[in-house]
Amino acid sequence: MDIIEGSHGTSISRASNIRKNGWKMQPGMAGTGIYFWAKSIYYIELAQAWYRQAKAEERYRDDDNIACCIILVHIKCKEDEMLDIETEGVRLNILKLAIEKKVNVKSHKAIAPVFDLYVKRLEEKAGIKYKVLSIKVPTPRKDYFEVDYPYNILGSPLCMVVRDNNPDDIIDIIEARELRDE
Amino acid sequence: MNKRKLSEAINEVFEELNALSEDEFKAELKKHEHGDITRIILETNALYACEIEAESSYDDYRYISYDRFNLPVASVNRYIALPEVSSYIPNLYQEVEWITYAPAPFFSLQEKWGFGNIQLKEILTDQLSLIDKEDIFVSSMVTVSTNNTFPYMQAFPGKAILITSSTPGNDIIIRDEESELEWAA
Repeated sequence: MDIIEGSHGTSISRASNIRKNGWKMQPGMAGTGIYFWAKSIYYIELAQAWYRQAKAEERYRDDDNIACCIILVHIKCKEDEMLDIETEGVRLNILKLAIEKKVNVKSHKAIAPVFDLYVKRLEEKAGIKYKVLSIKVPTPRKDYFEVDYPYNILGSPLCMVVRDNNPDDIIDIIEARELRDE
Repeated sequence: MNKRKLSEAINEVFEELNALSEDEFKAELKKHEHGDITRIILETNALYACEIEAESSYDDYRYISYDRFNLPVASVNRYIALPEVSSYIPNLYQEVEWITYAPAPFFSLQEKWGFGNIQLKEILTDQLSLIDKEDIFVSSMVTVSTNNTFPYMQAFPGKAILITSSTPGNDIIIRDEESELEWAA
């Protein structure tokens, strides 16, 4: 069993609810999973930035306490339950397919289903559903993320998306840290 | 599945998908338009490479690829009246979706160097391959009010860049409610 450490920024109300009732698949971002930043020296700031963005988009408007809380978690996952899209050649194969099949490579909406098709086929072949997807995503906008992030060294930060239908089985909260966020 | 088997499976999937005809492949893609991975990929902006801090002059900037800019994660509708625009220019639907993320780099670069509408027109045509350069007119920054005669503006009041075309129905609006920037005419 592998243990992956991650961070998740949310409101104090929601953090309390998570502590009380556990994680639930809910329409936080796309309603398709629970998103964590993989542990790095910036993962607290990244989680805080996602919180700020969600707050700016008024996702917490109905919460009693919208102050920031960073939740640090352990994601428990067997090696073959996680797919790292970055290191297994998936992106390169998707590019080759897109070019070969004349999919508009400049259109994100056209390319994203190729990822979906590819991963689903891979799951069929493996006979499993990947519980965790590991994928590099850009840092949040500077409005929300104040760190002078060293892209030239680190590249984009790694995001872990937990897709499991019963995330209680795979996530331990190890710390919930309340942050002041003006 | 260990690493070696996974690697083999990845290549097998590639071979199987590559063996499909173009039409078969696109039919398969249609089934995955709303899949959870599709949504994850779009929602996390995983298709954007990275943030680039552009520190060069405008002359250098012209050759920076669009995909290299920092692109906002914020929701589409805050930046562009997408449903309305797409109904006006259905043949440009794909391109319009693509430029929905454009305002942040445009605004930040404009703020930095103060480039004007002619340059933006070039960027739109050169970088986005949108429509013919002669077919675009970029207006000044406008404040759109609910009294405006354009129905899609009424639906989305606020500051906006209005890009109009000489071809009827090819108007495009890019909005940025948060920007306080003055548009350099």
